[in-house]
Amino acid sequence: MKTKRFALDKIPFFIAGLFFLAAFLNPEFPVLAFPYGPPPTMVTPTTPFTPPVVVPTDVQSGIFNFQGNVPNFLNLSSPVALNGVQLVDDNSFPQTSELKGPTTGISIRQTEGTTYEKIGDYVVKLVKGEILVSVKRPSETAIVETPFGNISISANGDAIIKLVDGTLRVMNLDGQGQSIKAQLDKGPFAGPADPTLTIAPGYEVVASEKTLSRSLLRPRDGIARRHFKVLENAHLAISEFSLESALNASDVIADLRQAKDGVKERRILGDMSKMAAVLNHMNGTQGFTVEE
Amino acid sequence: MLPKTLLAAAMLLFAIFLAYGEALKAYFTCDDLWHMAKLHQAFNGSPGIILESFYGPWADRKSAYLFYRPFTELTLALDYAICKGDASGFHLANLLYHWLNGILVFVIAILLFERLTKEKQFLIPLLIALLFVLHPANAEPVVWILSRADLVSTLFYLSTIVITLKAGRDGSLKGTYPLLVLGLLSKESCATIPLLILLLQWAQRSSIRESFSRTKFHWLILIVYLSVRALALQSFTGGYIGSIGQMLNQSFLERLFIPLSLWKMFHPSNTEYFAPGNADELLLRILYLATGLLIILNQLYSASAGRRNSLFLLCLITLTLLFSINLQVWSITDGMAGSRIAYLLFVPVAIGLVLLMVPTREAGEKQKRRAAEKFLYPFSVVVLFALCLVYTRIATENTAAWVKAGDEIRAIKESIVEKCQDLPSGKSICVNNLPAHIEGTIAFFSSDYLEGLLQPPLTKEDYSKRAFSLDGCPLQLPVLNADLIAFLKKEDRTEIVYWNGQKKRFLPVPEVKPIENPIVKVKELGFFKKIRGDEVKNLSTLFENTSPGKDMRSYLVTLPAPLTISGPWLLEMLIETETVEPLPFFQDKSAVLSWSSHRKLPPVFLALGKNRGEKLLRVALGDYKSWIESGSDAVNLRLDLPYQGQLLKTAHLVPTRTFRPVLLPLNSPRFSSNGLIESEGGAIELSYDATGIEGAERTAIELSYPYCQFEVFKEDLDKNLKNPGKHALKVFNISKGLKGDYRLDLSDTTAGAYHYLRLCALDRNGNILGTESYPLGVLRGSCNKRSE
Repeated sequence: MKTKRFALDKIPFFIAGLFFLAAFLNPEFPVLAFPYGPPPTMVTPTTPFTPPVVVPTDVQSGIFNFQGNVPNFLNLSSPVALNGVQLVDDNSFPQTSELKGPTTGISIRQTEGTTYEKIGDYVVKLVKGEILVSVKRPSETAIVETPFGNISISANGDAIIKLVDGTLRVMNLDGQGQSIKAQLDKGPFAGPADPTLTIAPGYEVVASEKTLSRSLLRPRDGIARRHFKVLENAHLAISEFSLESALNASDVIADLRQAKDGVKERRILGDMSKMAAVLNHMNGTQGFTVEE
Repeated sequence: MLPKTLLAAAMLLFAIFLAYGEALKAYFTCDDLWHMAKLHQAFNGSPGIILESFYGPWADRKSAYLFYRPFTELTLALDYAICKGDASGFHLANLLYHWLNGILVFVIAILLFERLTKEKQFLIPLLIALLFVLHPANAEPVVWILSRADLVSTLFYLSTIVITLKAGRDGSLKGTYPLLVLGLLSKESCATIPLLILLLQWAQRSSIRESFSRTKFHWLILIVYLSVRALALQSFTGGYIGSIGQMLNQSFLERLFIPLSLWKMFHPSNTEYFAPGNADELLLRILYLATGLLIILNQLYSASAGRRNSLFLLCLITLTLLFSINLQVWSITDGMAGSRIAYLLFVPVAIGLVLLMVPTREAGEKQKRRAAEKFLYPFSVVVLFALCLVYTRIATENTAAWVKAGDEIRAIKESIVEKCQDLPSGKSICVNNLPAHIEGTIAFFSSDYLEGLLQPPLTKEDYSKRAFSLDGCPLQLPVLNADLIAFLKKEDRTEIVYWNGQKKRFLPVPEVKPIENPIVKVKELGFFKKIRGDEVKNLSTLFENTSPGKDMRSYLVTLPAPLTISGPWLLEMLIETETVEPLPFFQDKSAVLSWSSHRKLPPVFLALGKNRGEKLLRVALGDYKSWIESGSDAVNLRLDLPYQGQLLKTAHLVPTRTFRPVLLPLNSPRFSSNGLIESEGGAIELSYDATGIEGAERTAIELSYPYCQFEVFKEDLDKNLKNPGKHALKVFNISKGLKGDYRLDLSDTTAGAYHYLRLCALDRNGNILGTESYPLGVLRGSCNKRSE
């Protein structure tokens, strides 16, 4: 009985405590679905969706509209190609003045007939031809200047950059995240709306002064491609390429394979091969075709 | 006692009109609209409708709730008989019921305190009654007409307590029998009366056996009532059901353990209407500080603490009893919605509070009054009186919110009527974005209410057949069915508009804008301080948050052009969760998408979960009502991620058709006012299209259970396909191609009940590809012909 009385006599202090809390607290509460409140937001299914490959000629027409004097690319148009690029802020593109660090990890291989100039320790200017640029740690970044803008390759990134007859190709062979960036601000891309893109591994960006034709999108270089998307009034295009076929068909990679000093080259080839296997597994291999 | 009671009654009446007098200008809202239409029909040729509530659910809206409240309906009918469709008459009646309840609280307080002190009381019981009538949480039960159930049931509940207290240990309790019956017929919470009478008898020194013996007829009445109610509702439990019940039940534990509702009882301002931190809020805090001190001092220095604490315990038990029966709906929002549940609960709260604060002394005690009590008594009276004044000010603001909401509802009605009058014959109007809440008060919580708004007595003619809403039935969804809207636009037999809450008029839905280069730009903004829970519903606050911090990572996502409803693109974002740190329980764990807007509109919440790995989110941003209402012309979006270890990896625009199939009605369907497609026959003609979804080999249509459990959206469609009898009523597998027409058999549906249909695309293994189509609500028969 005494215990009960003791407990009872303590209740007022608890109540007083509630009033003190009410006087001093400034709490915040989560947003819940209260009675008569709006129901939770409808979220569509979130499992990562890897679409099965569609042979380009099977793509349904009529989904996309093209403006201006643009060739009919309906059979080659696929929004999946957009998965390979991401617009980023212009400020995120590395400035040449900020480049530093050792250069031992930067390798450049070229095909016969290629002309490029070494501007600085980290910067080259591609005049014509095809180069393979590889940046491995401890090096950080290399930049390739082109008539359409600059391409940056960051650590653990490998890219083929090809400039032939006024058409630039940038292929990401092995660069995750934002390793490979293209800041297209010259030529047809000059102006305030110049895009700065990141390119995902297994994707190719094509830029040209001319409007892109089928032959430019699907060159006869032995590299299999699929999923094309044309932008910027047909001066820019994105496509997915088969890295496995590029390893076999690309002249500059073939040259790499035949290099006498094998350590660095073996490392580069090894990384690219691994990436090819990963991409084959993730994205499948159906639908890639080689232009005959 | 009579002169004191009359004086108190006069003072209470004055106080009520001071605090809630503006309510006479309020309009009908929410469920009121159902009842008004029915009352009109009852008084214009169908009197049997009123009697329906004696043998069926209240308002006959089985998709919303199963309540048995026939007497409440009779009180509404009485109001209608006097003032027809004039809202002020109904509001006046509510004020008068509230006044009567205040008088009863006064009488109860007198009985209790006179018993405690053995001397006459007036001031303290009056202050208790004033606290009760003036508490701002009572704005909802007083101003909202349908809260008549709370007012009337409280009237009978308190009357029962008065008679029980007066009867004492040996007096007759027969007077409580009819009050119990009427109370039970008014609201279910009166089912606790027998138990309370038993407890009161027991507290007055009767044995348990004696107490039970004296209440045996009360228990008998209760049993008979429960049986009749079960027969009438065809359910033993009843209550909120379907999607509303599901939503209430899903947040049950959160509501119990997160003390927002308790906080709102202490700070009962409608913060959706006026900002906290004003002078009233400061005064209230000072008064609560004083209250806490008074309680402690009273306990330490007052001679009668022991006796008062015993009576306080009885108040606490009563409070627990009343709270327990309202558990399903216990919740009070920032706008004070739901506070009607606390109406009767506040009686023991007010009595208990004053018991603790005010020193009382039994008359004839030989001990001299302690010195502290000479100070405590007047101080506590001053604090109580000051509380009443502050509560009055807050109550007037809360009432003003209801009045403003009523004005907007009137404006909505008049706009629709005007449009209906201008419409050519054969054409209808589709109104969307009817506000679920206005200034924190509940409004078009369900598009079901639209029908009553467009029928007499609120309108001269019945316009309900010419207007319908696709807002989502029976609860508002944050998105519109963009596919159905595109279909209706193409048919050109329907004018499609949405309500703009700022301009207070209907505007046409925006036209689709083409996007030529659908590339999205992403920029990391860095880490910021999290937004407070009560501010997280505000678009501009989120978008403009520049407070440096480490709580959340933010990104700026720039679209190439604004997205529009029924447009071909939706926003896809890939978010990776690398690490997850524990967050406070009150911090929102969703990613939030916001954009610049001068309107106070809700952002888009995206549930992420906290599992490590990648999560792909697809947001049909153009279809969101808040996006449309904000002007849908923004290109810059802000994404706030709740965990530091989360990052946005990619953001793309993807064609909607590659992920979401389309399910549409054929042949110019007839819509009921709540957006459901009415099907007179046993089937519905549909068209479906899943051709845009790569890898799809066939499709399936899911038919939901009745009463339109839209919250089942949280159930994976995958579960519904694999267990149709468990999660969905039926699944129709369509094997003839990815596009075509389909005649769906509705014979399994319940006539007059709500169902929905969803379409999905399947691969060869039966796995769902992409997402489900927007749901189509279907109704076999008509909303007005409900039958089981």
